[in-house]
Amino acid sequence: MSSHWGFYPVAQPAVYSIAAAGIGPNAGAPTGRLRLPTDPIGTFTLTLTNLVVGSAIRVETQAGALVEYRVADAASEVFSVPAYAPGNAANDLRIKVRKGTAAPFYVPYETLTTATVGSASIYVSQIPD
Amino acid sequence: MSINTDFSIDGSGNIRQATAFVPGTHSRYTTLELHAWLQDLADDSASSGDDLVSILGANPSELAGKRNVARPMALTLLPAMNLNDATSQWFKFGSVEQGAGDALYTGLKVLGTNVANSPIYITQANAKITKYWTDSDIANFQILVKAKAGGALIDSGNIVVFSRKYGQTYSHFDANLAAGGEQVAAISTAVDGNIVLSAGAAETIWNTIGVATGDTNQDLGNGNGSKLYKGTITLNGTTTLTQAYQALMWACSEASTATVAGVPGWRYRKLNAAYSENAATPMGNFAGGKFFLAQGWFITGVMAADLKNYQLIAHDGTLQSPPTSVQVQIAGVVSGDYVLVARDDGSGGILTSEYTVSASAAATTVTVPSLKTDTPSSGVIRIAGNRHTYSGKSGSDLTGLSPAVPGGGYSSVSAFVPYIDAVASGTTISSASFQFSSNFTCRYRVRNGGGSPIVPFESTLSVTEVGGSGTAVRNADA
Repeated sequence: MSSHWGFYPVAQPAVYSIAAAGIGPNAGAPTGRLRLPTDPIGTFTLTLTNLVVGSAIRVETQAGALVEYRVADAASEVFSVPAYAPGNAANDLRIKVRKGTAAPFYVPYETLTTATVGSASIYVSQIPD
Repeated sequence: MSINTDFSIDGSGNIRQATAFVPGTHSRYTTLELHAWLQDLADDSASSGDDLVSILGANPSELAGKRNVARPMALTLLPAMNLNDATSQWFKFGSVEQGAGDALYTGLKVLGTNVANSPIYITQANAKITKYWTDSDIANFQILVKAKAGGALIDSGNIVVFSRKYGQTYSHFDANLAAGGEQVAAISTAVDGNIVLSAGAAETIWNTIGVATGDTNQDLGNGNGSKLYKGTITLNGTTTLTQAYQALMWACSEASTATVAGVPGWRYRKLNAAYSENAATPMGNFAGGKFFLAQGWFITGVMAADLKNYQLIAHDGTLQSPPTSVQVQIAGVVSGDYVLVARDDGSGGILTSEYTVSASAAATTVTVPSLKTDTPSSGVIRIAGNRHTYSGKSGSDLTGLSPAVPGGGYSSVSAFVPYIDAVASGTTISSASFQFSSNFTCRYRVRNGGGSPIVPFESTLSVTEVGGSGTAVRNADA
């Protein structure tokens, strides 16, 4: 069985193509690659539940970079967020939920989460303002 | 105009007015409206115009409790959002705290029944706050007042709300703004019907009046002895009490430049910390032609016509009125009638045992224990039935007895002081004046067994604060 490189979940400084050795049918074909820290390693499926319809939702990194903004159409909203290698600051997310334009009004809700490859659900407990 | 055009919010959280608030022209926004506006902006995906608030930033504000248009809302601006003093004048009905509690603007509402356009002024740390309201606001007075700055309450949060317009009764209320929210000041004013002088005329009279603080012991001669007062109002002898009242009201008015008891008249309240206040009329009120001075003030230089038209409250809280001088008069008599008027004993006779006295032979002074204050200062004393006139009264002593005490003197004998004990020389006969103390009944006898004999007449009369009078019925005894 020939050896090969898989996705290597640690940030690497460069990109390399790794060719299979030997004389078989895979000889010379790439079997894996290294990624930059800024490259996502998968998708974080974030589901916000118990939302008040009409609420403005902003998902941003804790550094303040926008990930996604939308207005809730339903009580549950699903966000597909890139997940990066563990330790990457881009995985540290802040979720803001606000409803101050039209009644009923709610106190701004805010929480933090960390993106990982996979999914998570957050119950949003908005308090009437 | 709307709230989003009246204000801008820069990137540092400075909420600033577009134009200065003009009382009487602009309307104030409630603190809830400010919060609602900020929250409206805060869920926008991005800021726009000159209001740099959106979901990109932190929550700009929060309320203590839920939104309720019927209640004053305590609003906290987060974390860098802030008003400046000028911008705060645009808001009412609640409070605004900012700078992590470093600054607080608290709502103030004035309640009460007031004359239209009664002006309000507010003192903080004994200084007037520059007005950012109009007199017409009294109908619905709601503003914010800065209560805290730099993390420290201003004068512990205390303010005093005044309304002192010359021509009206005055009012003031102590409020504390430390708790935020909206604090209430109860103010009540009415037209003062005793004010007829113009403010200028009242000021002119004020300039003739001496008002000085300092302990003074004064005896009004009303039988209460000397009393302590804490200040003296000195009239010039030509100022009536009603004029003095108006001048003193002017001195305590908002526009006054006078100093009263060491403080500006516009914030003078009382002469001594222990006294109750006369909020409506700080120097005393005027009613029914009488000046009821506030506690602690003694007045002097009163015109003769006004000698009875005032009342004082001594430092000890006792009411002090000038003495009332009255007389007893009997009419329906003729010259030669003998008239005797003295206290009734309640049993159909004269109270001949009013006093018990002792005196040495030849004495011209007799000490009368518990001599009543309504004893005339001169007249007659009957001792053991003997008639002596006296010419003076000093404490319990009657002096100038004539004739002097007879040989053997008096030893614990009954005595009384008749109000009239003399032969009439005309159709009426009156007692000497005496100081009225309380109502009592006199019995009077009119007799004539001489040249114009009559059946002895006897009756009673009441002595009140206006004196007493009776009329003899002369039935010939022929």
